[in-house]
Amino acid sequence: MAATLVEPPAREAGSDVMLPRPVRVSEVIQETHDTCTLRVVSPRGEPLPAFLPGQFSMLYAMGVAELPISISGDPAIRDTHTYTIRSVGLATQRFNAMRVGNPIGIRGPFGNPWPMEEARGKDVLVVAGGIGLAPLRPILYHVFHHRQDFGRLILLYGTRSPSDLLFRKELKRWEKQKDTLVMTTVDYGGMSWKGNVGLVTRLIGRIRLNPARTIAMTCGPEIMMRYVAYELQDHKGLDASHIHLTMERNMKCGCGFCGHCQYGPHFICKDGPVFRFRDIQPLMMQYEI
Amino acid sequence: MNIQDLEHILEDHPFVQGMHYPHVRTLLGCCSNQRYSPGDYLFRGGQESHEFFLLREGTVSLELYVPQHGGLRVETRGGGDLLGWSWLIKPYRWHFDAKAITDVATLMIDARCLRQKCEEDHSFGYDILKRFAALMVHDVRAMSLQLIDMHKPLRA
Repeated sequence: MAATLVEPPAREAGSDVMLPRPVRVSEVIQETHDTCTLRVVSPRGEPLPAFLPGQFSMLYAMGVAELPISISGDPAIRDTHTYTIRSVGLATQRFNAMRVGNPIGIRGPFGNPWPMEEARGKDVLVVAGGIGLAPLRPILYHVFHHRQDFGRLILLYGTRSPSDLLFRKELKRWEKQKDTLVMTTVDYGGMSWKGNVGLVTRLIGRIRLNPARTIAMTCGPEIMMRYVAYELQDHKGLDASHIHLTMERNMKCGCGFCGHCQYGPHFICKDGPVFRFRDIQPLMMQYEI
Repeated sequence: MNIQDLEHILEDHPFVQGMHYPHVRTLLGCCSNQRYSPGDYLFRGGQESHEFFLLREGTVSLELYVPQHGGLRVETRGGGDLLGWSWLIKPYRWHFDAKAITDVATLMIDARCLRQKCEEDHSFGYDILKRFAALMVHDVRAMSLQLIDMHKPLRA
């Protein structure tokens, strides 16, 4: 399928970025015991705003709360947005209880995307932890749509247990793609689990990388991303400017007005959520931030 | 397998990356090619440890024996990994079982031979020790991250 990334339009002066757009749930996929994927469409079927891999929307569970959720779907598909949500609190529970036809409000897309242009011509290493695979999935769709523009694609994916693995059917499909290596691991595997057991950082030691022509993108628990970045820097020779990660803080407005997501000199919602490791490395060990 | 083939395989393993050639040759003198089938044990907990393994291909499960339960899988290791530090520290006893989950190809290093060479050539011994120290730090860090259950939501 030929697909081109569409740059989201610049916001018109006076357009209200704070006003949620009404959409409805068109499909619910139960991924694991605590995580679901929602596809949403406009009520009248018109295209939803274009997005770039790594961007997020503010999702409004009517009358409950608004949350920043990364878009986990294919950027080439314009008539739906896809969100993968793990149930960890009241609002995310509400999203996990959604049924087809339920209304949701969305604002966005917001944020700084994954560096897909910079990745052209390079090997792409994607390292995901748990629900962190969701914001990374659009990268994989984009690379598969433009296979000739990229080198090897390596996905390293770690979760707590085998039952927490997301997108299982797709993982199997991706494994069979040309020039693609998919490795999964779990922190705790029962004796029936035949795959890898151990941290996702372990898998990094098992792959061969050309540091000069590799770009790495990672998402997962912050502590995991930190060690992934160290591992890539210290043991694989990747420059900190070629390692990208996506940060998460308490985002409210989504566009840098309110300051809730301030992270040192940055606003996560506007300057991130995707950052170069080089730019935030000193902040990642600051207790005060 | 002839010694030249073995040398190429050894040189290709991440453990010997950047090692001086004379040290590679010394290590090669203690090295043999070993293969295991699924279900085979590379070593058992409690036994004396007189070897370690440079894994080339396949997956090995590290298991801890729990009485009345059986083996508890703690971690898996694969191609490019090293398996075993117990040969380095007295009383040279394995603490885990290592079981092949798939077909496994390894380079087995005879630890008695290696310990003797480390004693005879301290430069070589120090090189080996530094490499193992780095791996031990790596393992301890990985284990502590595994213990904190980082995938658990911060707010439930």
